[in-house]
Order: sequence, then C-alpha cells, then structure tokens
Amino acid sequence: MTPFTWQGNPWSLTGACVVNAVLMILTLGIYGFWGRTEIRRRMWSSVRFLGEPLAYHGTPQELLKGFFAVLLAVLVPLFVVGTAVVIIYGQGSGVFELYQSGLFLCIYPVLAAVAFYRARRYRLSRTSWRGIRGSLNGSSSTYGFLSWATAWAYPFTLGWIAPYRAVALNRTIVKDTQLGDRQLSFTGSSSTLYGPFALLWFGTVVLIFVVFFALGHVLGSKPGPSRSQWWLSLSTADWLELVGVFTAAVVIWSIMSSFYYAKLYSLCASSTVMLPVQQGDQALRFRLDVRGMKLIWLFVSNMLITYFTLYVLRPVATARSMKYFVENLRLEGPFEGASVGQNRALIDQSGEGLGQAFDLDAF
Amino acid sequence: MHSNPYEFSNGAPATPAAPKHLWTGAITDGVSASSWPVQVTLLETGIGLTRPGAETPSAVWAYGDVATAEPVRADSTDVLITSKSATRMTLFVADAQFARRIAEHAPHITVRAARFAGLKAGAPVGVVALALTAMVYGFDLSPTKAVARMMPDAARERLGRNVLDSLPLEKDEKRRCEDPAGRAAIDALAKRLMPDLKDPSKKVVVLNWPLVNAFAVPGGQVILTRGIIEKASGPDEIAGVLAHEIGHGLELHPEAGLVRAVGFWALIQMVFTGTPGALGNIGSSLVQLAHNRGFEREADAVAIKMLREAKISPKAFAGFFRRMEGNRPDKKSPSTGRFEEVFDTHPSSPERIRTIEGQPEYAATPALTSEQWQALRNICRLALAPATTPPAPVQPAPPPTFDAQIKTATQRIATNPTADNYWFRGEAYLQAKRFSEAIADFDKALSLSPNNQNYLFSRGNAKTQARNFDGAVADYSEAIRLNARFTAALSGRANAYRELRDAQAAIRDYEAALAINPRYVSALFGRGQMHADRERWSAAEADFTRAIENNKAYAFAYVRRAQAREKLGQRDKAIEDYRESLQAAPSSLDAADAFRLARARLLELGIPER
Repeated sequence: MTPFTWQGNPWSLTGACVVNAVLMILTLGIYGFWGRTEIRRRMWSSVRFLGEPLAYHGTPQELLKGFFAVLLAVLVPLFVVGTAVVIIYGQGSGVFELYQSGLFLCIYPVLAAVAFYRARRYRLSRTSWRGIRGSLNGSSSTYGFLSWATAWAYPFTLGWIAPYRAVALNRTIVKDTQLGDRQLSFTGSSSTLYGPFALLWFGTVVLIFVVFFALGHVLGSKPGPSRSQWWLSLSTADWLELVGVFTAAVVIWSIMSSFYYAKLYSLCASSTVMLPVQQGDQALRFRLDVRGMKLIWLFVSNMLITYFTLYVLRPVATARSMKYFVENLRLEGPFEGASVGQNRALIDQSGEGLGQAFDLDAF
Repeated sequence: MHSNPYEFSNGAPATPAAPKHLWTGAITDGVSASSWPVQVTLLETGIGLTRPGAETPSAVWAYGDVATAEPVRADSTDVLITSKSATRMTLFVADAQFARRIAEHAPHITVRAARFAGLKAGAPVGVVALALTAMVYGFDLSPTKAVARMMPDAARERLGRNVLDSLPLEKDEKRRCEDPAGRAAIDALAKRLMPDLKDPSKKVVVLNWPLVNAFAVPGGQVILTRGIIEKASGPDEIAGVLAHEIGHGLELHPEAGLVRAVGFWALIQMVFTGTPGALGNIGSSLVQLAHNRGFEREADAVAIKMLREAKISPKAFAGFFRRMEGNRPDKKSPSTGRFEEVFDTHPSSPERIRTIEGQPEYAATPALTSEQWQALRNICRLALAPATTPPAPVQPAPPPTFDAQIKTATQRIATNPTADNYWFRGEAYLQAKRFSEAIADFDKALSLSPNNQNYLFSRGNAKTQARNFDGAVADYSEAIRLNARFTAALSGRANAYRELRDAQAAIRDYEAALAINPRYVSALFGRGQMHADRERWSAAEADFTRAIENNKAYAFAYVRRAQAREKLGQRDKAIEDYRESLQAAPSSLDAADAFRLARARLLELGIPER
C-alpha cells in the first residue's frame, strides 16, 4: 500500500492568487495565462508520491493559443450565427427558438463534454512524475456523444441513469489513460451504486413532499389576495419559517447525496487498475477513502471561498479539494519504479482551449 | 529498459573548482520511473552531479540551461530541476537551502522571473490598448458607430421591428395610437424638428403603453408611450424628448449599442477568461454604463440644436429633467457625486439642466397649438365602432375660454390692486390652465394678505395642476394650519400625497376630511382610488357608491366604480355604470376622460352604449 501525500498548505497560494488577479487586470487579461500556469505548477508540485513531486509542464503560450483557437473556431461563429438569426428573424421567432434549442440541447452539451475530455488530455500530457508522462489516447467526440446521449436519458429514467452514466463516463476516460507505458483499466460496475442511489432518490422524493407540505402550511393559511403579491401577507415569523424549511431541506439533501458521492468516488478509484506491461509485473489498484460529511464541508467551504472572493481565491478552493483527495488516495500492490516506462505518445499541441473557454478547470 | 543515469551522457564536462556545499538528490533518466541518489554541488558554471563514492562531478548542468517544474520561491523547501543539456532527466533535491542557493545562481527560475515573462507579454498589449483608447477619445472617434454605419439600412430597420416585436407588452399596450388628429399633431411636430423628413408617421410611433418612456430603436424609429404624453407638462416637453430620441437615431446609438455589446463580449471573453462572472461582468458593466452616458450627452446636443433651429424653447426640456430629478427616490442627495455617477446610465439631471439652460436665448413659439396639443393627448383614443343605435347625444362641453374673466380681472387690478383681485385673476388663469401665471397671481395675493387660507388653497391647487406636488403639500398644510377643518385643503393635500406615493399620509388626510364631513365627495372618491390602488375592490366600490350618492352626475366615479365592479366579477353592474357615466353631466369632474374610458371599455366588451 503506497500512499500519496500533499506537501504544504493550500492557503499558501493566497498571495499568488491576489498578485495574479492584479496583474491580469493590469495586462488586460493576458497575464492570466501565466498566472494560471504558475498556480498549476505549484499545485501539481504539492502532490507527492514516494516523496517526489508531480511536475506540470504546460506553458502559458499553449493556453493562449488554445484559447484563440476556440474563440475563433467555435465561440465567435456561434455568436455571429445567433446575432444574424436575431437580426433576420427576431428574438420571438420560431427560427430563433429552434436555434436556441439546438444550442442548449445539442451543441453546448456536446461541446462541454468534448472540452472536459480535451482539457483532461492536455493536462495529463503535461504532467510527469520522475519524468514519466501521462496521456489520454481516446476520442473526445466519442466521449462527447456518450455524455450527450446519456444526459438525454435522464427524463425518461426519472434520473435513474445517473449512476450508470457517471461510471460509463469515468470508464471511458480511465481506459483511455496511460501513465507512462502502463495502461489503466476500469473494472467496476455501477450496480453497487444503486443501493445508495435508491436511498438518495427516494429520500429526495420524500423531502420534496415534506417541503411542499411545509410550504402549504405556511402559505396556505394566509388570507387575502395571493395572486400577484402574496409575499406581502407574510409576517417575519412566516419568513423565518420559510427560510428554515429551505435551509433544512438543503442540509438534509446534501447529507443524503454526500453518501452517494462518497461511494461513487471510492468506486471509481478502486475500479482503476494500472495494468502490467510485461509478464512478472503486477497490476496495481487505486483506493480512495472519502467520507460524506467531509465532502459536504469541502463543498460548502470552497463555495464560500470562491464566491466571497469574486473567484480570486478559487485556486485555493481547488487546492483544498485536491489535498483532501490526494491524502486519501492509495496505490495497492508493490510499486517498482523500474516497471513503469516512459510514454511515447505525442504531446497534444493545441492546449486545452475548449476546457478553458468553458471554465472546466476543476481537479 | 532504462539507461544508467550515472553516465550523464548529456552533461557537460566537470570543472575542477572545489564545491563549497554538498547536497544529496535523486536523479531519474526519463526512461523509467526509477530514481538514483546523487551528490549535488553548486559550481561556478553550473550544477555538479557526482555519483555516490566518486570524488569529482561526472557532469555539470549549466545554470542557463536549467528549468524547474515549479518556480522557486523564498519559502521553497525542495526543487525539481531539468536541463536542456540532459533531455528527459530530472533532479530532485529536498533541501530549502539548496532551493535558495540555486535561485541565486539561476534567477530565471524564480517566481519573480516567471511573472516578469508574463508581464512582458501582457504589457505591449496593454500599451497598445491604452494608446487606441486615447486615440478614440482624443480624436472623438467611435469605432462602434463606424461598424454600425456599415449595417445595411434594411438590416437596421428589420432589427428595429424585431426590437418592437419583442417588447414584453400586453396586446393593448402594443397597439399603435393612430387617432387622426393626434397623428397629424405628432407628424407636424416631427416635421418641425426635421424639415427634411419625408414620412413622419414611419419615424415616430406612439404606443398605447402607460409607462412613462421614450426610446429609439435600430433603423432610426422613435417610440413614444401614451404614458409620457399624458404625463408631459406641455408640447414643448414632448418636443424636447422627441428631439432627444431622434438624436439617438441620427447618431446610430441603438445600432452602435449592439455592436458595442458584441465587441465587449468578445473582449471580456479574452481578458477575463478563466475568471467566470464577477470581475469580468463588473468591468464590462461599468464601461458600458460610461458609454451610455456618452450617448445621452450626444443626443442632448442634437436635441438642443434641433429645438433651436425649430424655434422651440428648450426650457420645458430642462423642466422635464428637473421633474425627473424631483422624482428620484434619493432626491435629498442629488446625483452630483462622481462616484455615484459611475453607476448611472445617464448623465446626472443637474448636469443636463445646466447644459440646456446654458444655451443662448432665442425667440421661440410653442411646439404645438393648444388644439394640436389636445389632439396629441388624445392620440390613443380608440375609434368608435359603427353604432347600431344613434350615438349618445351627450358630449363633453368644449373647454370654455377664460379670456374674458382674465381681461376683467386685469382691469380691476389696474384700478384696484387688492389681494382678492389678484386671487380672482389667478383663479381664471388656473381655469385656463395657465399655471405659472396663476401661481404668480396667488403669490402676489399672499404677499398682500399672507394668512389667507383660500389663497393658499388656490395656490396649492395650481401647484398640483403644475405637478409640483411638494409645493402643493406645503400650501395645503399652511391652509390647514390656519383652519384645521378645511376639508377641501385636506382632500387636496391627500391627492398630492397620492401623487407622491405616500399612501399612508393620503389615507390619513382623506379620513380626516371625512371625519369632518362624511359626505364630502372628493374625499370619498379619493379614498376609493386609494383602495383601488391597493386592489381592495370591495372597499373601493363602497366609497365610489357613496361618492355617487352624493353627486349623481360624477361621471368619473361611475367609471371607477365600474372598474371595481369588473374586478369583483359584477359584469352587468359594471356595464350599467359605464353607460351611466355617459349620461352624467358633461361638466362634471374629468368628464372628458370618463367618457373616453367608458366608451373604450364598452367597445372592448362589445356592448352598445345603450
């Protein structure tokens, strides 16, 4: 069992975040690509395996190039077409509604998933440990289509597609991943997730009924006109009651869902296996032990850090999440450095354009 | 599978200089994930790498060639190094002192150097952007307008139509007001402002929208609402507003606004990419607001020029801004502070008033004749459907002329300038809707007899008519101070409070008037209006009924009761009230408006007038 460790304190990034925000404004944003690269280098470097750090090799110039590529090839054409539709047909026209529907139901979901995959590929290819680089060798469009198609199944399955979809998407990424010359494989199945998911699903249904009952209790007893300005008839006690109901609902749902997500993350890690290259080498399996309550705390505190600092300290929030996951990640089996060879895959030259444009900058 | 890292095949030959310090590191060959211990020294020319047990370095990585995965900081505790001269190899030294020392020898691997590299790339962009900005402002260029001018006329007009179509209005509010006499009046005004205008009816559209508003859309069309025409103090004010909006159209502001929005979107995407929301949106909004203010100033300048050439006084235009300033919720602290102005889409009203009033005087005539102005105010009147029965013979009486009374009073003043004679003439002016002259006469009367409650009451009425509600409240209050049972003043003050949206004060005064005289019609009607404002339809219906019981010819009370009854689901009774209002005496209060509303509603309901 070989542990991963995190070196340093996530809050030590604060100074760099503030300096980067100021310099980014002074240089009309151009410095942002350098700032982000610096932050990533520091975050990657904090992750230690066998006491030695990961290294991030991405460059600001690559990010800049990727950004312009996406801006010119994807975003500007979409914007120009949208503007033309508004000018020619008008905002209330059927053509504009069709365009918007196509955009939000088909184009954006696929692009977002493609962006996520390509960002992952870019970062893996620019990450090394002891000089050994990672790679992602599959097709981003396959991943994009899988994500889009399974998302469409949500309404037809009343959400029961969620565990299958999460595992299928994770499987696609893991089986496309190589660490050096060692291929990863995904051995898990979503069937073990359906127990916790059923608890979450039925719990959510009950919670919705309880919330509606409580709302009815508060609002239903109010006399007078309730059509347009019903809120005027509410007293302070009513408001407190409403806020209390919603807060309790959010807290209860967060607790219920956190157990499902803890199980999901653990499954994804424990299903990830580093396959041997040659006979005699041993397959290595990852393990992740995360707790639901800790996930809730991380989610809430990171959200507060991000929003209250106008996104300036978002890297600190990301580092806190990384630290938690890294410190709970293990590699099972005897690890031999000599058994992992260098990756010969070509380095992707286009940066992480789409990922950056859609702000998919999570861990 | 892997090479021997101690061969250091890519390293430079060792130098003989003796090292001062010795550290232990881990070296990898980039072929496998194995690592080997190595002795590390910092020499004059580079990093010396020595295999354990050996005495001299096997290779030296020149300081200029080394790079680090993470820039070295003052608090770095370790460092991971690569070298151009040793492709794929890495050297990891877990020692804070080594990190500090290597930063001294190779300053390009520090955070400061990395930041400088980023600034070197960003600074030229910033300088060019600043230079372009200075050029745009310095030479008064407008790139957005230049792009807007490239739009074909057909596209601009189509865009304008789309803007109008997309307004979130009820069907009745979207209706274009086309009463022929009113249309002729607004066309005449537009032609007067723009003598070269060929088709004024296409240029200016009046919507049956109660909101007080006016705006220009792409394609140069100007939209006026029924609300702004009804609330305007006179035709000169409408002329100023119309000229201002035409100015927006001539300067292509709506089109330029669109271009600007697109441009800023692209710029913000570029500048704040990776920083979603917050910072980017704040910056974008502030810059766009500043541009809005610039457009408003330009439109004001066009309006002032247009009014001067049309020989229309700009005073009413200034008065419009003064009223806007008076209606600001924070009117006690007018928007003159620079910081607050940053957040305003329009320049502050005092600034605009100063600009307009600072123009040289010139001979001017009213923008419209009184007949044209009256027609314009009725432009949203619905055309009557062909009647199956003869139309009701009752019509509002033509407005009487008060010239004779004014002339008589003026003669009396000439021979006997008493307070009462000034008051009489003031009343005549008030009836003739010549409010400023009326107020001047009441002022004179009060200067001769300061504690006369009637003069104060009349001046309060004149100020109410002139929409100076604060002034009206002050005069009514003084009259009430002199006579606490002055029901008319209490009711008048309540009306003024209602206009000032002080519901509590208005209700209090109506109640006080009714406590003195429970049959006082104005207070009953006013309190009914207050109930209707709050959608208390039963209470409103009861008050309107009592008002009618005490004045059976009160046409407007019938209309208001009909509206309340419609809300209460009493459709038949409501129709009866609309019909009754048409039978009421034409000289009753606001009879003309009552007739218009009643007929329009009966027409909508498809009910004959009798």
